[in-house]
Order: sequence, then structure tokens, then C-alpha cells
Amino acid sequence: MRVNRVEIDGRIASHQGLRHTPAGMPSFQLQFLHASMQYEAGRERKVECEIEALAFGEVAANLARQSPESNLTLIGFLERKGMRSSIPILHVTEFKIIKE
Amino acid sequence: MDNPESPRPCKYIPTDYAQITLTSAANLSLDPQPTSVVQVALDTPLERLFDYRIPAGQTVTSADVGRRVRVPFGPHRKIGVLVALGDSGSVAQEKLKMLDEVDRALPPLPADIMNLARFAAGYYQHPFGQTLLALLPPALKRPRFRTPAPQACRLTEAGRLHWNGLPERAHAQRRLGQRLARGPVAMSALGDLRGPLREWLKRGFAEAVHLLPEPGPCVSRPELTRAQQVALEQVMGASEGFKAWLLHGVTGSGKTEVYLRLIEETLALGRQVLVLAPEIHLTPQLTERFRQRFPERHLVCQHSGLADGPRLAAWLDCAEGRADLVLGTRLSVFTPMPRLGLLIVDEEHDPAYKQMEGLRYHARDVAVWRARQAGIPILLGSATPALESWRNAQSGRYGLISLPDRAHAEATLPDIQRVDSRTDRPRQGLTGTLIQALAENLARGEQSLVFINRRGYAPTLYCQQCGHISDCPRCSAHQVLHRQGHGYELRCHHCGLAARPPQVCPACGNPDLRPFGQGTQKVEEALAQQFPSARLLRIDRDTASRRGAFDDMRRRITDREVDILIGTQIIAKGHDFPMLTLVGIVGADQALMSPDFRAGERLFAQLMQVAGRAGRAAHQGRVLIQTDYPNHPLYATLAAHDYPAFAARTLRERRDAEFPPFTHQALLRAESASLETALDFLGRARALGAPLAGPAILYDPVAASMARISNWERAQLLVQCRDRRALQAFLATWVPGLREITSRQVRWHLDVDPLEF
Repeated sequence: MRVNRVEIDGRIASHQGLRHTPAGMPSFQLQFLHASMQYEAGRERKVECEIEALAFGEVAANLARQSPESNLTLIGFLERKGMRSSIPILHVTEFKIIKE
Repeated sequence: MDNPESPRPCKYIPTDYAQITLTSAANLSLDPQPTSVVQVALDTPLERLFDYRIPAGQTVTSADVGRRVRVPFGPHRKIGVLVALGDSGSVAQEKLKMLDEVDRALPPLPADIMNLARFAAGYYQHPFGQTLLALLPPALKRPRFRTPAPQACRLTEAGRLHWNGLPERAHAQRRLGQRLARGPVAMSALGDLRGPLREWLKRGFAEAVHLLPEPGPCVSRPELTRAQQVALEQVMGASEGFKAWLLHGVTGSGKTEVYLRLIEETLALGRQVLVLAPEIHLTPQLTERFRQRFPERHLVCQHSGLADGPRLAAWLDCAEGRADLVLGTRLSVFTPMPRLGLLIVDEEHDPAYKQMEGLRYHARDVAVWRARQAGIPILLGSATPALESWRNAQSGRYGLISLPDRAHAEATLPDIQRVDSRTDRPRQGLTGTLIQALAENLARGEQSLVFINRRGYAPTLYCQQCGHISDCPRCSAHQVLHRQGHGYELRCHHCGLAARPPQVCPACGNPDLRPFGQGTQKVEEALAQQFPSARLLRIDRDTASRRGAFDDMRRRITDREVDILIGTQIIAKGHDFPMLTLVGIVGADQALMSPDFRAGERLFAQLMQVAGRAGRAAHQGRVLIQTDYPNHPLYATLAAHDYPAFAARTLRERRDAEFPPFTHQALLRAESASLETALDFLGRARALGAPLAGPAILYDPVAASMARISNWERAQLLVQCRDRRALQAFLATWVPGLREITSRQVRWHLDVDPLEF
């Protein structure tokens, strides 16, 4: 298995502020709010969801500077939240700002 | 008295040290017999004395036994102690080397101290020479004899003449003369005049004197409580001579006042008193009380925090009989005191009395032996006596004195409550109940203490994804995360190795490494977030290690510059903080899981002591223990302030499991680069000992619970016996043989009455 890639548009709904790991690496954890129209079973439908995302390093520092109004595209992979959890969390490895 | 007619190879000092006859300056000065060969104890791992010839023209008599000598040893010069006259016969006389010099500037070690060293060396199976040299202050172990620097000096007649005849331009000397003409001056008060003074001392214009401290104001004695009165009558009513007393008094019951009264009585008889305290940090507070009560007495403090000069001065004050009252940590149990009349061991249960390296003695036990030899009473005081002492008191070997109530009429014992942390889940280590209580205390303007016996930020750095924990590469222990400036540092509390936290998990690459668990720094941080306006003070070894730092903290607490204290056991011992009314205990459960059979006893003592900090004066104290096991019997007896019940239950368990104090133990520890080598040595040691063991049981060699420290693999072999004498007899025959089977790859030592496994 190699593929684990997620790409999703939305905006930052809430976050815990920029933190640092004990080694001094920036980390940024956020709730990401997504809303769009998608095709499913031959029809268009409305999609709305909120997912948890996490970024480290430079990406984290840059994400922390984005205003809650800006629309972003997050790109990254899924990983379980913790050793004893099966719920996935999105690890953001890059993001783009969507120009209107 | 010397015994040169039975020369025999003295490779090992026989356990019956009495065979090497002890001579002392005191009982032989009438009949000094010159000798040509002497036996000298040296600081070497060899279990023997060394013979030296006396240089022509020098006379050494029995009055010199106990004096320091300088001798050639291999390519070096060593300091030794002259132990006996006459040769041991191990080396032909003509092959012997000459000793350099006998130090006659200092008094010889008295016979009782030499005997004490013999006892300690024999009992703890440590080479006699190393033992004897270990109890000298460091300044006396340097290979150059120097007359100790005077503490104070005064003008001599010759000095007065010299001063009067000084020319105008000799400004410094004239100023010095003026100072000295007014009376004796302490060296410390002379500042830049110390240079010219040294010259004057050399030329005989000034001479050393001993200054007694200026008497301060005397503090009046408080009324004794009924229990204190009874305690005093018990001790003073006893017949003269040796008697060991166990003073069991709840925290705040006024044990110190009982000490003070007994000291007063003893000093009045012209005798000296030695008081042992477990911690160097405790000595200033006790010193203060003693000084206030006995302002006209010469009080001396002895602990390893003193610089070499003052330490030597203090030692000489004791040894030459000038000091009346000596207060010190465990090492002072060996201080010569010619007029010793009373020994007091405060907080006698404290594990700090056990030396963990070199001569692994227990200062309380040595103190009891010393009191017995000296024929004087000894008082062991504690709120939670060691089970060994408690059993001795129960069986009648020690007299038991109880102070069951607090001394302040209004002061009651603190209310100890258990907070069930299974339902009241802690956040950042603190339960809602504790936060609430802290907030109330803050609002009332009273002080609180949060006790957590873990320094650092968090005990582990943990990868949430794979469970990896940062371990010390050299020890079998987790690295502890510490806050360091603005960042973090991983430190090993066993070998001291410090490292930067890794960027990503070394096992899975995840950067999200999290601190796991609580240390003092993290609790401090959590409290700062919770109570932004509260004034916090953290006291642990990291903040209190600087000289004077601890005193400064104590002052800030008593001056009410602190609202919430966060501290480890360093704060738990014996300090009086009258405004402290709330104690929160975090993370105590861990000791309940320990495989060490003494963990429960230590936890009980520690928690009792911490709890005792609350409400010592007029304020009712409250103690909250956060625990997942609120029904554990240890916490139940603690909440009831019932040490006797705790002791009874624990002693029953110990008896059923055949643990001390019902058996006696010795632990042979071996360290090597590989565990196999260490175990192999212990296996051979066991084979050697098995036929000699008698009633003693030699268990299988096993890896130590801390299996590796600083890349040394550690293993141990436990010897256990119901009969202390039989154990001692076995050790005496076994240990010399161990020196034969040892190899370069292994280092080992024997710990008699070990406290840690």
C-alpha cells in the first residue's frame, strides 16, 4: 500500500493556536469546515462536514497565519488520532489559498 | 599493651578487631614507650594495615596513636592514621619504608572514635583504613600538613612593641595594630588586612585565639504540655548510662522542645550534645532555634555544604571540646567529642541517614552503637519511626515516649481527605476538588502546597502514534523531560546525561511527541494558567541546589510572598510554615505499585510529613490526597493519623514475608559491562559462600531492578538471616574470599542492611 492522499477545500472553523513540540517544532491543530456540491450516483448533492487536521513545521506556522475567512485547500494524508484510537485525523503536508 | 609478640600475616584485619590492641593518648601518656615501627591505616581498598619505620632522630610513642602521618606509598605520598605501635610482622623490618612525618599540630583521633571506625568497618565490611580516613574532614586528607588557619587572633606583647615602633608609611600594618589593640578580631572581619596579619602570625606579633560567638538575645522557654512534661520525666528519671529512647510524636507535637530541654540539662552538666538531622536544608532552621535558646553556648554546624576551611574549624571545635552543641548531617556521627553526654537523632526514620556509597553506614545505627559505647542516652525522634526502631520500642529494647497531640493548644491535626481521581478526573494532574480548594484558600489569603515527588516537566516523552518512550541510552530508565529556558531538555536522573528532545519519534517518524505525566514544572505551569494572579514558588532539587537558595525560599514563604508552593519531598521535611493551611498531594499512588517492600513505609512517612505541614499554628489544616485507590489501607490509616495501626499491619506483613526487621539482610551488588559477567561473579560468590552460610540464606543472583546505569549492567545477590550475629559471622568469613575471586571486569560492593534494592 502506498496511496494515502486527501485534498479538501474549506476554511478553518477553530484551532488551538500555534504550539510547539518539545523539540521546538511548530504544530497546529484545527477543525476544518468543508461545504461543497459533489456528484454521487449520477446526481449532484450537498456535502458538509468538519474534520480534524494537524500540521507540523513550516506548514503549521503558515496555517496559523491564515484568517478564518480565507478558503483553503488542504493536502495531506490520514493517520489515526492516537495509539488507542481508530478515528483518522488529516495531517496537512501542504495547503493552498483559494483566490475568489 | 601493644602486641608485637604475636606477629602473623595481617592480610585481612580479623573481625575481632580487639586483637589489634587499641592505644590512646589518654590512657598511655603516663608511660610512653618509644618504638621503631608503627602500623598505619591508609585509604586503600586493601583490608590491611601498613608497617612503616620511624626515621632516626624521631620518637614516636603511644601518645601518637591516632595522629595523622604522611607516608610514601608507591610513587606518591599518602596521609594515614597511626593505629598501633610495633610491627605486624607481615614484612621484614629492614624492607620497610620510613614514614615522613607525624602531624603533632592537631590532636590525635581519640580512642572512642578509632573504636567507632573499627566497629563500622567490621559491621559494614569496609576496609578499616578507608573507613578511618573517610571520617576525617577533607582538609585533613591533603598530603601537606598545615596548621589550620586561625578563626580569630589577638595582639601579642611582641606585636604591641612592633606596632609602636612602626614607621608612618606602614599604613596597613598600623591599621592592623589599631584593630588588634582593641581586642581579639575574627579573621572574617579583617578584609584586606589578612595579608599583613599572616606575616604577623609568622613573626609572633599576633596569635590565634578561639572566639566564642557573641551571645544573642535569649528566647524564653515555652510552657511544656502535659505529654512533653511526662516525656522529659521519663528520660531524666532513667538511671545514668546508655539508654535508647524512641520519641514518637505526631507532626507539630513539639518534639524539638523536648530535645531543647534535654540539651539544656546535659549542657548544664558540662557535657556536649550531638544532634543529627537528615537534611542539610533542615540544619539552618534547627540551628536558628538552638542558637536562640542557648545564646551563650558554642554551637557548631557540620555538613558537607560547608567549605573545607570552616568544616575543619568546626571539626576542631568539636574534637578539642570547645563546641557545646553540635548539629550535623549523617557524617557528623563520627565527630570526636570528648565531653559527649547526649545524642539526638531527629527524623530518625529518614533514608538520608543511610550512606549510599563507600562506607555504606546508617548514621542512626552507628549513633546507637556510639551511645552504647559512651554510656550515654540517645533519643531517636520521629512522627513515623522506622519499623526497625518501632519494633525495638515494642519489644522493650528502646524506651518508648509518645507525644500524641499537637503542642499548640488551638492546633489540631489536619483533616486528611481522599479525592477519588477515578471519578474526579485530573486535568493536567489536578482534580476539580483540589483546584476548588486552592481557589478558596487563595481567596482567604492562606498558603497552599501542592506536593508532587517528581521534579522536571514530565517523567516521559511519549509518541502518541506508536507508544515509543524516550529512554536513556546508558541506563534502564526513561529520560525525564525538563523545561530549560524557553525550550525543553531530556535528562536522565540516574546518569545525568542531557539531550535535546528528538525532532521526530525515532521509532515511527511522528513529530507529535508529547510530555506524558506530571512533574513539578508542569504542575507549576498548570497552576499558573489556572491562577494567573497567584504567586507561585517551585521548590525541588533543580531550584534549591544553589547555595543559599533554599534559605531564600524559606524566607519568602514566611514573609508571605508566596501563595502556592509546588514542591517535592525536599519541602516535606520538618519545615514550619505557619500560614500553610492546605496541602494537595499529587501522584502518590505510584509508590503503591513499587516492588520494593519498604515503598509503603516510605510513602506513609513522606505523606505524614507533608500532611504535617498543614495547619501548624492556629489554623486548621486540610490535606487532599488524589488517588485511584481511596480505600487502600495505607491511606485509611494515614487519614486516621494512626501510625501505630499502620506499623502493626506492616510489621505483620513483614513477619509473614520474612522481611526486615524480622530478618537481617546484606546485598552483594556487582556491576560489569555485561550482565553475564556480573551474574557469573555473583554465582561464584554464592558457590563460595554456600558452605560457610550456616543459618544464612543466599538467594540466586538476579539482575537489579535498575538493571543498567551509565552502561554498567547491575546484578545482585541477597543474603538473609534471622540472626544478625550469624549473618555478621558469615559475612566476615565470606567477604575476604570475595576479594580472591574478583576480576578486573567486575566491580562489586557489599551493602549491609540495604535500604534499596
